[in-house]
Amino acid sequence: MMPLSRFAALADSYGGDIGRWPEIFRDEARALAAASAQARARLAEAARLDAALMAGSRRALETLLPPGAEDAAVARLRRGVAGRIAATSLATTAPWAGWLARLADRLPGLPRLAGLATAGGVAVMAGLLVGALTVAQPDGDALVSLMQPTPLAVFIE
Amino acid sequence: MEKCWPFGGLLPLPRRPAAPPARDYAGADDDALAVWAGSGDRRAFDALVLRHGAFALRVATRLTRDATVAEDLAQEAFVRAWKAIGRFDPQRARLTTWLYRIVANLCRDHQRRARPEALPDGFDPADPAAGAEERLVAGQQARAMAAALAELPDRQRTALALVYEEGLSGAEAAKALGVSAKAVERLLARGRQFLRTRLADAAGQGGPP
Repeated sequence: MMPLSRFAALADSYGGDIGRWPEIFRDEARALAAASAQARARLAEAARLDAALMAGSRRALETLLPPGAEDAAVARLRRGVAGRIAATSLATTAPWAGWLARLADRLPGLPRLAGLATAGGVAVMAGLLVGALTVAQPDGDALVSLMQPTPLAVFIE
Repeated sequence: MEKCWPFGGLLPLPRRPAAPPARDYAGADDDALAVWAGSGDRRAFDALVLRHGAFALRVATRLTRDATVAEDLAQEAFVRAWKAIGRFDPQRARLTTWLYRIVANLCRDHQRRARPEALPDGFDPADPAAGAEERLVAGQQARAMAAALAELPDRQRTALALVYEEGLSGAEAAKALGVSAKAVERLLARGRQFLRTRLADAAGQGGPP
């Protein structure tokens, strides 16, 4: 049977739930706990610390990352990772993109900015495209008027 | 198309290769997703991020005590994982253990560079379900424990977070930390001894028992 000293050492490391202990020790530990009041007392003491540890850790985590905020954080994480992976893939085909990706790797805060910059760039390009397609093509007179500054036309009249 | 192709005898119509069977990303296990991701399948990797992102965020948040920093580190961890996933061998380690190791190492590197921070404002919110006295005791104990956790050396705190809070076995935590199982056992024992002493000190100063 497992010596009580070894049992106590395992309880000090892995806590009061034998189910968390390394599998090779569990059967012997359960047998000792069934037979020894001292072993059961060590388990109970370890379990009290487990409970305090879990409560303190959970409280601290929820303060930093409330349960409701976790889903949104994971969504941001997915977008960020996908964006950086896409940039890395692009870097293999476009040298300028490779330079940007290396820059992003060196500047920790850049990935967040890169998302904004990309969105801004896309918006500007879309605006240029829409402008180019919607502005009417000038006819001949209009072209002349564009070449003729307005103040000069006033003097002629 | 074949009916309209006028060169059937001389030049056969090029045939499109058969489409691969659709992949069940949600139903696939980690190893299958890792293999697909290793061949360049970004959707498979995204499924891994979806599956393990919350864990990575929780571990990084616990270790850095800063949710913003934790998001950046988790993102960096997954990008590194993407770059290396072609070399991941499911025969040698579970994907989760491999990923935990990347997250833990990044957090440890960050902690080496960063100065220790005080507990955040607003820590210890009240639990409306408990009575006033229970709230007070539980709050004091949780505060003392959280303060003690913050003072733990990084490796001990990482080991405690992986084993107690994320449910890894000692062997898995050992792989994640890159140490032996015996070393993890020592880290856990030292960490728990430190916490026990701090709780006793808090109780002696009028805090909880």
